[in-house]
Amino acid sequence: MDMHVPGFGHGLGEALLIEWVAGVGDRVERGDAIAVVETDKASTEIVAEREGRVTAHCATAGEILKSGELLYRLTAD
Amino acid sequence: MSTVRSASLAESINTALADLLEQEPRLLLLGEDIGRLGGVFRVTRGLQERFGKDRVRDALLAESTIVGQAVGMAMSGLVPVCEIQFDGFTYPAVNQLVTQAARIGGRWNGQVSPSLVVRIPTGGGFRGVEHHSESNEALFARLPGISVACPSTGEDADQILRYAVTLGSPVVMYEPIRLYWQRNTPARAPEPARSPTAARVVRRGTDLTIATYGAITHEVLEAAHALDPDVDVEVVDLRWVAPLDMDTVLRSVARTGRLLIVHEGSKDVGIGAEIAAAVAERGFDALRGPVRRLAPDRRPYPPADFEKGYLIGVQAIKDEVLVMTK
Amino acid sequence: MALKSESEYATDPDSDTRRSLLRHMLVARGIDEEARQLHKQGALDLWPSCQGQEAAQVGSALAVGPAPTVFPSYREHAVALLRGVTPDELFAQWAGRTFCGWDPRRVRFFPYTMVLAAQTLHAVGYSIGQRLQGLEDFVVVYIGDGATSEGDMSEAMNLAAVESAAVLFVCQNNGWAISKPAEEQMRTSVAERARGFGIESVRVPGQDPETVYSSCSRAAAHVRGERAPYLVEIQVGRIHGHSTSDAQEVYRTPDDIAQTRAADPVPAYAARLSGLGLVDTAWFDAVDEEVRELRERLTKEYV
Repeated sequence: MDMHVPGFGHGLGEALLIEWVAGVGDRVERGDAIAVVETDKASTEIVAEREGRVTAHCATAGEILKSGELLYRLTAD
Repeated sequence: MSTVRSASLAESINTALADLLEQEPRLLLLGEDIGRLGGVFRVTRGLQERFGKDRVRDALLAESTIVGQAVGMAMSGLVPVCEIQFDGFTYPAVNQLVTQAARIGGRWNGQVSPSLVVRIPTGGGFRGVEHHSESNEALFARLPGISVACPSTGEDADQILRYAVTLGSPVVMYEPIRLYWQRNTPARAPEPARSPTAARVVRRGTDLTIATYGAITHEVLEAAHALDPDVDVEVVDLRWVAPLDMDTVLRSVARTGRLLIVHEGSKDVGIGAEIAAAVAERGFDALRGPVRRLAPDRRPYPPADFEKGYLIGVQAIKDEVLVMTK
Repeated sequence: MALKSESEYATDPDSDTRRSLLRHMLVARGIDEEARQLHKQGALDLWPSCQGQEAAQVGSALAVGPAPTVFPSYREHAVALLRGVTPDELFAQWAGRTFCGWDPRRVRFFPYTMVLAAQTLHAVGYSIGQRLQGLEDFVVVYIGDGATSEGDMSEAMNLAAVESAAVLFVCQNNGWAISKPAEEQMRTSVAERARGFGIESVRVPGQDPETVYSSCSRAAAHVRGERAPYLVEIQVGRIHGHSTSDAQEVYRTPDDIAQTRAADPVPAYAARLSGLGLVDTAWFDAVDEEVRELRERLTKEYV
């Protein structure tokens, strides 16, 4: 399924993708780190919203992510 | 619709504050969490490291303390620039602002001219919790002795700040929270303002004038761009709500013959009422139709799930313009 | 009138200082009487009398010396006069001519503040500001018992404590917040409250100017030596109402008012110095003459 860039609060609509933590093929539990991003306010983690296996990254490190955009894909296996 | 990518409001204010701290040794910053943390919005990020704890002061969590001590500091010859953390937390400082800061110059028969700035993050649209999304600029606009600025861009905030710290009387500057980190903004006319206190015509047009200020200037511009070429809207960004630059508004209305006022603060006894009254008094003959206001009803800012219904959106602005020009 | 330099002030007043204390008290009493008279004649709109508080005001003001800047409340007329505010300058705001009749910088006695306790935060901020600029940061702020209920007073005490600001709080507790008696205003003394904020404090009776002088001298030395705040609570009596528009007979018993009058610090101190032979009839005549001239000038100016 498609997983999207979450909101970052307080009017922050975007964040810089620093690195992926969960690689393609990795199994993740809800709450596991998916990626490290840097908003204008702070460095933070994007975490898995549910358990599953990461099947695709839809952005690369160094890219600006906008809330609501497609970020990665997950299958429930 | 054309947009431009520029420095964010927060970055512009940070740069302006750093420059001012550099240039004016009597200037200091005072606010909750502005030092170690760099402010809850990181507007003052890096300034304490650069200028030290004496000049970038982490204040006690007490707004009356912040403004009250700033009044004393101004009496001693310093230029305090205070930060209130959120608009809705301004109220404990109102007594010190209204009965003290605003009146010191008169009470001292002009012997003290306190340049004292209070920066207040303002407005909604970012799913803030209670008290974090308010717009109370009209409250201070009513009070003689206080100037009230509502910039909508980093460039304007920069110009206003540099002017405010030399004014010799208190200035409250409202900074829209939802613009702090926004970099893509609707294109606007590059005309410079006539003076630091003047309004700015940010879009030239012939059919109707919209007078507005603060964050919602962006929605107004977006609506104006979208209505083009059917309706040619002129947009006046007031930049200050006290004192109001009515000359710029009246000149614009003389050209377009129609006036709509749009603001995020609630409508009743608001800034729009003052502008409408002034245009009725001084520009009535130029009007081709009634002056109208578009602003939220007089009710508390709602929980985040309902803020879209409270705030004035682009569609509502377009609809109003079409009604007025049909 | 010349003030002594800081170092000349000892903890216990010498004979010259004692005469000075009495003279300032007598002058303040005479000016206060004239204000009450002028109010009755319609020449002043309002007057908050300081009668009964002269020993506290003169004792504290002489003890701290000329260096500190004073942030008054609105009843510190004896302090104002001692600092060099002229009587006609003092009356100007009560006659509706201005919001402040004197030059605050010249006398380092800042304008009266009608909004209770607002000046306490200014005082602390001013002291911090002066310190940051390497300037004299010793500040004295006056407050009444009623105003200590305001949030700004608590905020100012806490701010002064955490910033270790060189602020001397002088609380004149006259027992009444207009009609609200002190025992209904607080469960502890103001001095005890200050200690809760980490501010050293003392509570002293305010009938004898020498007691006040000594306590405030020690307090000033503490502020200077420790570069930290201090609070002196002075128990005083309020002889007249809160202001000329008050009617204290409505809420105070005749006995209570009579007792306050009987404890009037001015005649008591005059009698004491007389008894000690420090002042004589000629001395009193000279002060009377000075007061008479000041009152005549005020009458000319305001009637």
